[in-house]
Amino acid sequence: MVSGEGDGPSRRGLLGGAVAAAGGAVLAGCGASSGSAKTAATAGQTQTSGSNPSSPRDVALLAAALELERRTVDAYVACVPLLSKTNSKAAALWLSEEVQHTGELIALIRQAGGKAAPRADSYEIGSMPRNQAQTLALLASFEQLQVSYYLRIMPQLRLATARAAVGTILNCDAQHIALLRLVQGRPAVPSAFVT
Amino acid sequence: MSPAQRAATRRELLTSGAAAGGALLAVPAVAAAASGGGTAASRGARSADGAPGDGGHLARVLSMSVLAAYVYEQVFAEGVLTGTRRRAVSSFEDQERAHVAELRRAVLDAGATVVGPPSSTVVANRYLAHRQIPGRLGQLQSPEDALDLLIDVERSSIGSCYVALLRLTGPETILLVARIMANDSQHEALVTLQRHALKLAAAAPYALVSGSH
Repeated sequence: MVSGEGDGPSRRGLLGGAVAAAGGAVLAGCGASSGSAKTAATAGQTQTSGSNPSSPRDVALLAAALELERRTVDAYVACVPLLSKTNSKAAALWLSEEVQHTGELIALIRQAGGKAAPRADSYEIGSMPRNQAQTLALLASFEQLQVSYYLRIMPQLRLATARAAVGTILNCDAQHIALLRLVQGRPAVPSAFVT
Repeated sequence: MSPAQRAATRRELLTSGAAAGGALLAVPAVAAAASGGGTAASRGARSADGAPGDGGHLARVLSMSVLAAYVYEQVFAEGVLTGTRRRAVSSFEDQERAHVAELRRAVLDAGATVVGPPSSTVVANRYLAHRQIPGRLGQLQSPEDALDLLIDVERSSIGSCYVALLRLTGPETILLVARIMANDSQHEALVTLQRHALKLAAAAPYALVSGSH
């Protein structure tokens, strides 16, 4: 956990509010997407890779993804107050989306026959950024870690529904990265193939 | 005509296999994934039980990608999208062509039949209608019309990848489709940003992005 101004109750309050809001959305079955309302974890689609949905390997891969998402949530909670008004408004939305990703991953872990570990009290996010540019760069770095990890595990996931659901999270994080690049003044979509 | 060819022609145009809109771009090869998956048969056009194999699923993703590249080309040619809005999305046409090139290679490697670009805007409009995309080439009246069409096309592209990911078995093809799908999601966000007067929060409003399918 970073230390410095902005630590403490207000940050926890923001996180709590975001978790509550996103959790409500998940509980309401709001697996929203651009054009379809449900994802694999919420829609209970037919498995295509074997009849037994239990997969310890998938559980392990998804558990690591959950920890990455939780760390990114902490990074957003720390960084949103440091951003300009316009950027903080967008980042607050992205924070709520990251929280929803944790909910989706917990559902996927359960679907794969596992149980998600409890959330840690705090996650290491490195040095506190000192300005707008550093803050945006820090957030982009966490998003990039997630995107790279999802691309690495998708071919390894045994359950096709988990793979597709992880893909919907990957897409969202890829959008976050593009928009973060844009506000950093960098080319938003530099390559035809996300890495 | 083989079953694989019939599958490809059922909904898509089937031509000589030329890629959409001209020269293909060189793109990095997809790195081999760490784990194995899929039998030789399931990576082909048809699996042993007659269901579409990876080649068939990839061909469907390719058909949407070909259409997307064609739509970008035609939208830009119509000239309704100009200035900063045009510049903001101008690189996406080449990126769609790069998707076509890489998917075409993967489809051929899998032994399935590749599709070419629509022969005319009339044909393209028929494919758009088939995919329940309301915009029509040649009838765009404003930049908003053009952006709406591009957003719908990107969502359909994302959706075709999402559906494929539920069926694909080969690690390399899964990775390729995932990388393309994520890129199309970025396109969707950036085009949406232009549609909503650059309001950042409006560009990525959904936590789980699976497109239209």
